[in-house]
Amino acid sequence: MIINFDNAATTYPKPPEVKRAVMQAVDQFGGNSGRGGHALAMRTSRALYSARTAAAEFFGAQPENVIFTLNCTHALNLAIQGVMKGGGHLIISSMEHNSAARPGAQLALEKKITLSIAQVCPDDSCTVQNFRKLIRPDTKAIVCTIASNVTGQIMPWREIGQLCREHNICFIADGAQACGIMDIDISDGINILCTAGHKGLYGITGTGLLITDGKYKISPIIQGGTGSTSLSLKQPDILPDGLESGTPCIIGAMSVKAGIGFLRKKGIDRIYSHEEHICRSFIKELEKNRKITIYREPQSNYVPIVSFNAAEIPSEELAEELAQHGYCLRAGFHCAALAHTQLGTKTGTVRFAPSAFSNEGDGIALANLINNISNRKKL
Amino acid sequence: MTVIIMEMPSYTFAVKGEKLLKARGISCDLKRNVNASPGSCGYSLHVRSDVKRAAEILKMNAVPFIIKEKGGS
Repeated sequence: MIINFDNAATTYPKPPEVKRAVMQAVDQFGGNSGRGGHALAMRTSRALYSARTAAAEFFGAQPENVIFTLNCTHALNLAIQGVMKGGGHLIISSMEHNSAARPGAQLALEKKITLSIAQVCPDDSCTVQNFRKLIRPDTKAIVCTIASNVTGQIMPWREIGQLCREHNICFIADGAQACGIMDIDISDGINILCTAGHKGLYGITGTGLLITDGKYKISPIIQGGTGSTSLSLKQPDILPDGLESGTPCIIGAMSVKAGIGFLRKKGIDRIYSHEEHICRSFIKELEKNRKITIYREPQSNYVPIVSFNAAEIPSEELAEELAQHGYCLRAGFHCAALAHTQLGTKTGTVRFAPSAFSNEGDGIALANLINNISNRKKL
Repeated sequence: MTVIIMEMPSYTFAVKGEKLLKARGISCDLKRNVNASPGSCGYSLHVRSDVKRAAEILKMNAVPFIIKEKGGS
């Protein structure tokens, strides 16, 4: 028995239409996109374009500004390294995933850029003010997650986008935990949106997206074959080719297209309400137990993620015990050093993350099990 | 009939251009180039009518292209 509440890592199960799209792509789109005139290549190229268009329409972008990547980490590395090439000052939030924090930290370590970290508060205006205070004349980009992968806290991303516009700073948003759950349109002040294809968009693993409004130049981090300007040794500037060297994951892109179709059919508002309802029921049960710590603040808003600890049980130990009952939850530090430092967790947290396919009964049964385990432990 | 070949810088722009033109009733075909220019992606739009309007539509939608040659069909 597997009951998956680790959907913030990657969603499982996938919708039937995604499975069908993968099978269809394997069967029919076996050519290489943009690299030939024969029937197979043309059919595959058109399929990839349709996936690009689906993503563009979903996020309010132009198709050529949709870049397929391996995952959100790849997209964030591309965005951060690509925009910060040539130096400058970068600001990231104190709740960033390592996929944003490490590329920034590495560039700073190599003395290619300077890096500042803006403290996230429970109160949005405090968070925005902390970003504002760090802006300097040479600030080139701000990176902020839309929703924390640890606590689910929703950041004031529209206000940060506005702040960036006022100061002519590139706003790079990490949408890994928000896309597919929240209505995200890059016209809401985002210059570059990075997201996973395999989480809230319900595509398969090995998929990610970088979506740009085209305002800020993104230098490629790898060069190679693009199918265009083949006789030139210079990487093309034009998008998406300039940032998409090598054969793209066509099967993955088709899965993301099908995932977006699933979201459109179900409605992201309905999915959000469904998952949030499960989270509320889960929290309600846990709140009956004083030994449980839930990492939520009354002033903040959250995507359907609940981070918690039970008594003094190390998070990995608790997750291991839950796993023995078939429950899949991610414990530990969630690749988010800054966030856990801010939260002051000793052994990390256990993260509960439902999906569109989760149900309330499983969430309540899990909460009861957690309560029983924590009551059984001697303090 | 005269056919205008518009060379495109990327496959993505080629399909985007094709869809823009067809949506506005302009007949065109997306084809692989036999003699591609060094700066092209190897694909072009073959436009058979309303060439001036086709060019305007592409420019208005920021779709880059180069008119390579004019020929008969």
